[in-house]
Amino acid sequence: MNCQEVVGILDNQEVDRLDAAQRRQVEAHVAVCADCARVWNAQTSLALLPDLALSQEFAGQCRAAVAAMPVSRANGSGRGRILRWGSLAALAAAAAALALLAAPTDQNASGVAAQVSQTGAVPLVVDVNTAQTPTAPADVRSGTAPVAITAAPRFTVRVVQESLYPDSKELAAVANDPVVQEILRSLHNALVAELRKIPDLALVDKDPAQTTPAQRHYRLQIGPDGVRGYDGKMMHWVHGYPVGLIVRELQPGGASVERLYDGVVVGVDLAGTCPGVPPARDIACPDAPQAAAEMVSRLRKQVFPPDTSVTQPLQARFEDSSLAPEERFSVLVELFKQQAKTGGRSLVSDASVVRAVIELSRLSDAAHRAQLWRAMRGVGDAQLVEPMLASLQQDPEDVRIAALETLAADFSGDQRAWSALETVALSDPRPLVRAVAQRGIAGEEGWNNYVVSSLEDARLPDSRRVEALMYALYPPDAVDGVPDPSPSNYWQILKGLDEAAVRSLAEIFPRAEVFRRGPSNNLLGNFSAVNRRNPVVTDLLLTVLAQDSKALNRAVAAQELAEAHASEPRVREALLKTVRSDPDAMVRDTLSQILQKDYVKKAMEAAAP
Amino acid sequence: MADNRTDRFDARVAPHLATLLRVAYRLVRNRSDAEDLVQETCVAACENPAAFGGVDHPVRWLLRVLHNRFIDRTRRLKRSQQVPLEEADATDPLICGRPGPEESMLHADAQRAIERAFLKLDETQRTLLVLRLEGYDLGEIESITGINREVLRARLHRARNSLARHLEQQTGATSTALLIGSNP
Repeated sequence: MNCQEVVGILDNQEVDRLDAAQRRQVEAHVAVCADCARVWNAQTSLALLPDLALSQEFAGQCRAAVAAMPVSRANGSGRGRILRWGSLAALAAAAAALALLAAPTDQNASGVAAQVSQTGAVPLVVDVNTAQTPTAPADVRSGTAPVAITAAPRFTVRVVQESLYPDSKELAAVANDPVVQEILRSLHNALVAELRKIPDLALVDKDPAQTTPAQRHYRLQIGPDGVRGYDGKMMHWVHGYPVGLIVRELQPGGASVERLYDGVVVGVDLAGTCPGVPPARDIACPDAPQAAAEMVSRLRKQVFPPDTSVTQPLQARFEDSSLAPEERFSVLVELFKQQAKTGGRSLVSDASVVRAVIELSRLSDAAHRAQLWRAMRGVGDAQLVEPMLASLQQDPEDVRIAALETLAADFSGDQRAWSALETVALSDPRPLVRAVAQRGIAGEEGWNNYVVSSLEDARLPDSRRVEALMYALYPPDAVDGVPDPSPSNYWQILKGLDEAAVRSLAEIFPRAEVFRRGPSNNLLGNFSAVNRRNPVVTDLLLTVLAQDSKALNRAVAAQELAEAHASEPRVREALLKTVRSDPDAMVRDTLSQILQKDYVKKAMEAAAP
Repeated sequence: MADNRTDRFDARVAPHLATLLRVAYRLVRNRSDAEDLVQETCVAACENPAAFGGVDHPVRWLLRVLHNRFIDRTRRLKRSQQVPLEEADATDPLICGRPGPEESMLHADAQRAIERAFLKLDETQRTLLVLRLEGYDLGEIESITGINREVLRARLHRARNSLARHLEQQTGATSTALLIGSNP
């Protein structure tokens, strides 16, 4: 036997089924051939390791997992990777979410229980403080082993009927209406049914004492709501009754914060038919299940932690190269919105997503490419380095900056990226790009010095003097409409400006066109508030009030002058002139209201001649 | 709807569960991860009835699904761990999670060394060696992994060499002991 024949056996035959003659031939060869002995021993050594036997219990768990997978995907024809559960915990939680039933409120406990029993499911209430590891009800079909669910759900939700505005007598009166109570009960039950469809969610009957970032808890309050008309009175809804939903997320310290979402008031019509004027702003004539479905859909998109039934189809669409680049890009924005709810980059870190980003970067225009590079910041996949290096060579300034910042943030240990940063810092034609590259190399101190020194450099044109400051204060969104989750140092920058920089900014502000457009609406007010005691700021505000073409800037200047500088005679005069004769009614009305405040009145009186 | 899925599971997947679990365990050497992998495979298989219904060799098709899941999963784990493999191996012979009851039964140093060496291979190398251990020939492995036969032959050769090298590193010396006939 020779080496080739030994390898042939290793490739194609079952070693433990060799007949005696073959075995002797192999032994004879490997005894004298070190190379063959080495690979033979390596491959056959694996048979020494113990195996795992199949248990009935595990077979039952697999069957339950198949039964519990979301219905919408069950007959999907497409990709095999739609369901991508990361762990047994997630799988168990998904099964639990389908099995769990919400605890009803005190008023409708029996109602919900009755409804549940009609569906044939087994009611189960989860106490989040004591039973974080719920046990799913046994599968009642014959021949199926009970499935033990031992993992904790990823997040919990409690639905309560509660006054949304305890101080409102009008809404309190509405809440006593038996029809409204019936609507609330219907909506509560419908919400419970919708929420049960969400993987990784467990409904609970009371708020937990503690939460952690890994164990989020949301409290959904539903109650009568209303919309006030222009006269301040509640509008009469022709059909249905307005019901609102407020979401509060419990914080680790025990406090809670309201989570805003788009879809506050829904007009619920018990019959689901409302001819004439639609009672809801966004949903035409919903009955309780329709309203609940829409509410939960929005909560999943906008509030709840990303779940796979939402994110995996998005990932699949983003990776689908048959779609138009614009459509894929809009899907990426949606993915980012999902990501922004909990932070991190896990949804866009998948290798297939990264590949799709690279592919899309070749098909997109420069503006989109800049967003792609920012979107990939924090992912750290080395496949991104080369495309971003190419961007540095050929793309406009904003794309180069996006690529530089991502290279600096994620690939400072990569020789190619580091060399590129050094080259750009020395030789890019644009000063801001060079400064950003230098920031990646040398850190924040040098960058801050650059921001201040360029602001103070009177030899430069105004646009050049403020560009670094504006970039530092208003960095672009990661992707359009989704800000970068990293904490902003906006106030640090404003407060860190030295006297010369404050004077420079006060000098430039009335001239530079950048302050009359874009995102800098609040810069004048914030800059003035931070430097309230500085006389150059009073001068700046007076100049803006007298000359600025942007009404919002004049209104901000008027407010700041009235609240902090009204005791100066020249300010008083300017304010009185503005309230009489500013060409914009918004400026006059704003100032008029501020001048009614007692402390402003007193300051104005003190400044009177 | 659920009945259709469970019927498919009962008819087409359940008969091969033992094979799937054995292969999964051989790949990851960790009970909980092996079970996760098999559950994911079951769900994926029953999710796609059209593809499943037309295959001549259900077990090979299931192994292909499992192989793809295993590769996805291992890559995700690598990203999420952020621990150099060498470091991870130095402290724990098992890449995926803490040792379970099965792992704690690995008393023999030789078994431990083999396991460590095996877990240092990349996911494709592990798959190829495990499928060979299962008795599949190159043609069958080609249909399971989708890797061209010639490429497969080369990769399998490299996998054996890599495993041998890691084994030598584990034991600190070149092992020349013949293991023929020592299968349990």
